[in-house]
Amino acid sequence: MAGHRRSRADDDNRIRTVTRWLLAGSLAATGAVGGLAAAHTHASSSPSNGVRSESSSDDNSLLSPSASAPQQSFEAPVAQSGGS
Amino acid sequence: MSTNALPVWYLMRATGVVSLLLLTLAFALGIATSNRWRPTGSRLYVTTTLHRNAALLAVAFLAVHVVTAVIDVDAGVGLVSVIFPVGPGWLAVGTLGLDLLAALVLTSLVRRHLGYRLWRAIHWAAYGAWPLAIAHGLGMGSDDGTWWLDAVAIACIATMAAVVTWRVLAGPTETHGARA
Repeated sequence: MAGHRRSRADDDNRIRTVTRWLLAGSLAATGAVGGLAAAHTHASSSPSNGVRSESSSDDNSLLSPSASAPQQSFEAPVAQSGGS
Repeated sequence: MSTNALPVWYLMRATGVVSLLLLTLAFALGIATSNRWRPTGSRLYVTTTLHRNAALLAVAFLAVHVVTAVIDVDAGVGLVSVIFPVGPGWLAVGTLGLDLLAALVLTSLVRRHLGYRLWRAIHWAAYGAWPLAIAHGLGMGSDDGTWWLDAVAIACIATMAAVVTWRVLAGPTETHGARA
């Protein structure tokens, strides 16, 4: 029975190999799903199809992006004259 | 630190989906361990170790999912709603699943001090995290109706249905080895 069983080193190698493939697959899947999510967002970025608008931050569609691309919210400083 | 950069938002969605897949795999391997299944010619600890590694990977991706949800201003997820299920709707469901997983991880870390019976009871209760996770993923609606989210959901549900059926049909197994 023990004759055809793998050695412990073989089992350890098997675990290492599968775990590495699992990590690689997970990272690849993250990239793929991120790309699909981006494509989905891009395709549905008109305000009328469920994508959250800026004024609805407290509803149930919290995890939807704003329809527009991110923008800086600050303005360039304006020089002030005067003073004593 | 907060941002409304779209890549962060995509990363949050992607890591959420991948952690659901890994969670499903970890649960399937956990049930396989209970059924004393092992790859041909290998020892049972191969299944057990792969179950643990898949679970650790799921936790790592889940951590990225949570962190990106917190720092993304559009997501509107506060630190309190990460820990307590007080957020709106499906967010609270996800938090509840996260709490169950945290209990699973923490009790596994101190398993030697808990005793096998208590650890096992908590471990089985944590399997409730899976339906909560899938409900959270489908209910949030960010990718609702996309073919790939539907495919992921169907694959996860089919896998869990298969392994739970397998577990039920296998009947009780000896657990005195306490090596799951």
